[in-house]
Amino acid sequence: MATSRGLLGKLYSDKLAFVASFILLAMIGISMFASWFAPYDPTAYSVMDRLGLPSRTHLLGTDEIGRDILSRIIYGVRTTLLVSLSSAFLAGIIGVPLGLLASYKGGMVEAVIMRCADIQLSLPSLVMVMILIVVLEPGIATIILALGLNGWMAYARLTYAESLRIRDETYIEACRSMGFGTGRILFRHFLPNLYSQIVTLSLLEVALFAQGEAALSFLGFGVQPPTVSLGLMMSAGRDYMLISPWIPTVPGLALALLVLSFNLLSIKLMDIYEPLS
Amino acid sequence: MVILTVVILIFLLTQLFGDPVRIMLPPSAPETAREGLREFLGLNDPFGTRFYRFMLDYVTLDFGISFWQRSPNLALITEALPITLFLGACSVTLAIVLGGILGVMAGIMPNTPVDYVVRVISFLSISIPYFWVALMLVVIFAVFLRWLPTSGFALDAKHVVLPLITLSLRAVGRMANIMRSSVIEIMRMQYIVTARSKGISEARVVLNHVLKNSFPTMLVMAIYDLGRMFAGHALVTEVIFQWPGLARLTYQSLTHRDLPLVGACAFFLAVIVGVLNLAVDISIAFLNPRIVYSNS
Repeated sequence: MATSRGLLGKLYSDKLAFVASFILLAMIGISMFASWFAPYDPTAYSVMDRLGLPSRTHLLGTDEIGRDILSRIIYGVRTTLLVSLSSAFLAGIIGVPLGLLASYKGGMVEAVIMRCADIQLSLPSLVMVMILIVVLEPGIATIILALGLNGWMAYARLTYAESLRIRDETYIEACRSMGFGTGRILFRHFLPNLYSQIVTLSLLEVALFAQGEAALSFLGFGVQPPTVSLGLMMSAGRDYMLISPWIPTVPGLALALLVLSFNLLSIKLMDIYEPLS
Repeated sequence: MVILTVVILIFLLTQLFGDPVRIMLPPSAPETAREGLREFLGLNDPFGTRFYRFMLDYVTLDFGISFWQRSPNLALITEALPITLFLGACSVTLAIVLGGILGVMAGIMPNTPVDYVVRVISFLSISIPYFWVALMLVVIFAVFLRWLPTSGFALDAKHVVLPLITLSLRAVGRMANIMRSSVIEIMRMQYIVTARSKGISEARVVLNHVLKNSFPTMLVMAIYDLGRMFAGHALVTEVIFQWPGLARLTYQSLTHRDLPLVGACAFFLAVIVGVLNLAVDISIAFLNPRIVYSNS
């Protein structure tokens, strides 16, 4: 495993990875301080200014009821990041311990956990998520919960597979003979070996969840107005596609940029940690 | 096993969580209407009875009546299903063909500009949100160029093109990747060297040996992708282009909070996805006898 200095060095020597990380960090930074960066209140509308083209006052134009698109995109990216990072966190919190437990305990525990993962992987995910949201009333918390519950399998499988290799190492046996409890062994000795893999996976998962949030909002099952979401902007803009096609275009561009950066970064990290072609 | 879980989940979600009646009726409905609906749905019966009746209904393929459409659910589903299957089958075929061609091109000329272009294309196709691409395509081809209709279902080329591209986008990228790796790996093997030294032309080497060995893997992954399409992508695609398929039916039933229909649709989708995944698992074990398939 590369030292931190070595890792960052390698990361930034690759132009693409550097650009991707820069974009991501910029997006995260801007979202955190959205109110300072956004020129307008994202919900302030003015029917007089509707469907405006990009101009000096509205850098990306206005939407169908006159809200500034640039501001809405900034806040929309914030929502997307919030949802996807939280969901990935939730999925990880559920999945990683389960994976560790399954590989360490073996036997029945392993069988049950892995079987559950397999079964849930076979379910039509979007549909299940949507059903959950319908039943629990849409909203940010519900989406995070639904997406998180839907995504733990990837984490569990990864930790399980990687832990199998660690399980038979001598130092684990040493821990056991010293009387360490399961939890301590798992978290202080198994887990540090898996950090890099978990991070790489998380980037991919965050990208997936971001797309999921956008898709759900697009369909009306995601965040509800007045909360801003890129998906909502795209869906509302669809109705006006014939007269002002940039309304759905631009939010999608922001989303694509976000997702691409996450994926790119994840791939580059994978290359660094496991340099085989 | 999977199907059993699905049915149980559907039961739990549609019957127990929250109050199904509250979800299904508008807030202004009088209390008598709610009570009537509860009686009709049998929600006042004890848990065991409801579960038993639910299972019995599903086993006998009685999926109840849609509240929104006021017609039997099963009929609605059987009408919509072929459309989705058609779209899915076409997408998979397109993915295999297009992805295969791209992958072969990249594989036989690794590290050339051609390879690079293909790799970039497949990366983009996997990463970019497909429904945004769909909207972009609609903007370009339907709004600006006016070559294609914005939406609508018809079995002619104009109406099929965009949904097809949308649905198969990600799969094309993945197929290209798989084909490419497969080709590169096989090209390095001994029997290719043998074939070349026997004087067989390069084209025949590629066609006979390389393709024959890569194809099964690709087909298996394509079926897996088909399953994923049904799981999610099909829904958004059908909604964007207004195709009356099973996925859009599911979406509409969810929007209308028509829980019986939701359950039925989810069941069918899960069965389809489950069958496809099972086919993938079996094929993997079948194709590679070196892997011992251990069933936990």
